[in-house]
Amino acid sequence: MEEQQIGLDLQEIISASIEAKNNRISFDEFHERVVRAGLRRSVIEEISKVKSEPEWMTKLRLRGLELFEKIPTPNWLPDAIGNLNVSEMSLYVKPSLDTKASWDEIPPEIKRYYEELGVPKSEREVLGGLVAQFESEPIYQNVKKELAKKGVIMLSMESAVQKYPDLVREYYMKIFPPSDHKFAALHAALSSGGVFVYVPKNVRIQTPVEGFFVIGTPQEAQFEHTLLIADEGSYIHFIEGCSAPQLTKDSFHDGMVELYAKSNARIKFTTIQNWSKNVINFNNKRAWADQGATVEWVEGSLGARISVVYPTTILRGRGATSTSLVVTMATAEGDWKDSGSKMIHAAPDTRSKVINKNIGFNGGVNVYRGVIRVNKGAVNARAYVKCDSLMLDDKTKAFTYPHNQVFEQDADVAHEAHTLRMNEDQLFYLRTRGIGDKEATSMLVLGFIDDIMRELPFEYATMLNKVIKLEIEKLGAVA
Amino acid sequence: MGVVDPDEVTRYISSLPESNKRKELLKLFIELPYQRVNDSPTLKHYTEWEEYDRLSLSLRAQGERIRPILPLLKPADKYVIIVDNEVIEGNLDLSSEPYNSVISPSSEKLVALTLATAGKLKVTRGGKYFIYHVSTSPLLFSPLNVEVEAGKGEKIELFYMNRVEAGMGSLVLGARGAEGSSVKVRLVNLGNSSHFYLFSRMEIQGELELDVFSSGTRLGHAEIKVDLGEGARSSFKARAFGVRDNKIDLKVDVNHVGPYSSSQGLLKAVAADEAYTSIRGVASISSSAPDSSTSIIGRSLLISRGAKAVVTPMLEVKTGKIREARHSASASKVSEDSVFYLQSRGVDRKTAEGLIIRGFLLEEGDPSEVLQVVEESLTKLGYTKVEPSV
Repeated sequence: MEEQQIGLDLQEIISASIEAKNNRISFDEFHERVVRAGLRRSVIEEISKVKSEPEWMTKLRLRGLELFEKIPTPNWLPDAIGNLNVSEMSLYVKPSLDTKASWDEIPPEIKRYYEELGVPKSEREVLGGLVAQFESEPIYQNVKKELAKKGVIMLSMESAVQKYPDLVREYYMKIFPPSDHKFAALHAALSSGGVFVYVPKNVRIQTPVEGFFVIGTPQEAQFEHTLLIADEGSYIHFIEGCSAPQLTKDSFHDGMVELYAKSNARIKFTTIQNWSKNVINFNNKRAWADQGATVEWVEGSLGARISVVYPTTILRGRGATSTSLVVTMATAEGDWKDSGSKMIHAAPDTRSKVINKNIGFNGGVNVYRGVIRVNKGAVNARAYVKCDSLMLDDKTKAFTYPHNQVFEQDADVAHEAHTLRMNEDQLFYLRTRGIGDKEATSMLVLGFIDDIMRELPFEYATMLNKVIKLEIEKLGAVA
Repeated sequence: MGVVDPDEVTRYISSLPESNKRKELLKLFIELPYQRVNDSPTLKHYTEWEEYDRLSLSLRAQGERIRPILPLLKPADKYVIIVDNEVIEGNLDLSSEPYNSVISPSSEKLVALTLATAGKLKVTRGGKYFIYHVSTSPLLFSPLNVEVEAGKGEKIELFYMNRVEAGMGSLVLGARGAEGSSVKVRLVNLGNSSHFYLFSRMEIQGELELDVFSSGTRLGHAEIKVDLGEGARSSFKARAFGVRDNKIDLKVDVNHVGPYSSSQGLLKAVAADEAYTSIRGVASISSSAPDSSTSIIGRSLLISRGAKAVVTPMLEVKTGKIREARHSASASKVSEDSVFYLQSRGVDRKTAEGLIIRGFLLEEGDPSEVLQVVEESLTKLGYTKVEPSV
């Protein structure tokens, strides 16, 4: 396959979006700037053609483009996004090699890169299947034989659109429609890569499944789309690991995750995001939970400069439950970690629990924006939210914006939040036992996020542990 | 224009002193939006501004007037009773100055309108003050502008009571408390499916004690912003009791500007019938306020099937050097455990619920008017009061 490249001035598109906040620039001006930046109908059609997509997909992309221009910019979006040095990006790069079926066939330099991240090792040892993404197009697809035998479909989004167009069409951007907000619309227009997973009725996958995303070349945008459907009574634990090497330019990421847990199914979705500091991560995550279904979000937002992620579950069926455990870390001046979970109770007997832990130092900013909504008729709904922010020095900032909206009498919603600094007494206790400042601090920080650590698979907990210790090393004197 | 009748308000303003300044304020009212930033992704605005906007009120009483309920006791030496935009009794004078030195007219749309149309009460000396602000005529906009200035070491107690039998009451209240001063403010708003609007800003260097109670309004928006200077302390209680088709949005923001300041707040709401209550607030500790502490508790009780509640206490901490910053929120029906506890002691269900609701809503020192309104509403809901037996 020949290499194809479509240039797009993403920097201009983003800064135009930021400037359009509160209608500061007119619709016409915005349109003009976006078109000048390369984002126009013909380009979108070209992308769709290169990928030989069905007509509905092309239409959806064009609808996304239309909506991206129409929808106002969210006012809470940090202005700093507009000042980043995201220069000319090649939106769609086809790798110069075809998709390989086995690890051994992958060229050594790319293999070395993956190996440094520990992908193949973990894949061989624990993980059931793997679809790795490199330069937008999956180069590696391997679903273990037993999974295939059970009828599990797991392949790259591109292949899924070709092989199972009707199945994909039924769910694609139905849970998170492009009309939701500006960047969801942009995602619809430029979506590329990602994973499609379908777990048939009553199939329970015992080992976690991993999709490891890598932002490869500099100036590479990622608009990957993950769509996961767990049919009735099935179970899957999907791990999304995101990591990127140090890139010379800032990189923008506008991904989307859609989960659909049908009745009595259970989905656990774990994300450990440890991108390098010049990535802007804008991830749209939403799940539907039908009757008796369970959706569990586990999110570690450690890397990236700016990260905007709100795992959301819409509890649509009686007795559906959802939990969301999020750790964010803002470790440098200019770090902006916008997180928070949204739970929409739309059916009776639904349960949700949100635990959010933010760690900040060196002037980083952590933001929690959450919504608990209990719709009329969602009797006997129960929701619990806890969000804590730990600040390790004076420069750090933490914001908490929870919204609790209850439209049903027979509901119980509780929320608590605490913004705290390092406990001097606890530090003193550890010091008197001969433990150094930094070690004591990292012990206390790890204790602070213990609730979430316990939910992670062992190797991820170890990785998180290492990352936090390394970050604490950077910290100066303890507050 | 909305809220007021355009011709009528222009004529009214022309008849007042300082009419040019007032015209500027009216212009500002027309230009400003009700709200710039949406409140949440799921609910755009916690106050349904359209409800105010649909009104077309006048400034002079007309039509059928309800006989005002006048207070039996005037709980202060200095007082004023205003009925339908006319002072009918009291020893406090209304001045014609249209501005408030603590509040910028552009703070909010309805602030500009209130300042454009209201007379001003100024409280500058220590002591106890009582303002009784009544509106009885339908389609009447009844505005008032109050400025409180407590000097060093001075103590001011202000009790403002607003009864809107019909029409819409509106209050703009600015307060300043110097070092070592003590400002106590009690704001009560009792409506009768009428409208009410309140905007207040308080700059406190000393101590502030605030108590807000709002009930009975078809649409009530009360927003209080407190700035705390170095070493300043504030504590507030804000309560909303929504019955029938009431919509009450109560917001208290505390902004810590100076170091060593501390604040604590309690927001409570009870929603009955088809009522909607929203209690919210932002506690903000700015980077210039190290070693401060803040705590906000929000509790909502839903006591009828159709009731709706929003609880959103927020925190903005802009320095890592804090003593404490926390909040909690809850929304639920009357606790089954508490009901069971009382039932097992021989109290029937309805009585038990009534006891719990009263215990939740009422506070020590509530004025008799508040008690009366709460009792009336609860009795209508079937929660009759049980007199203690000897």
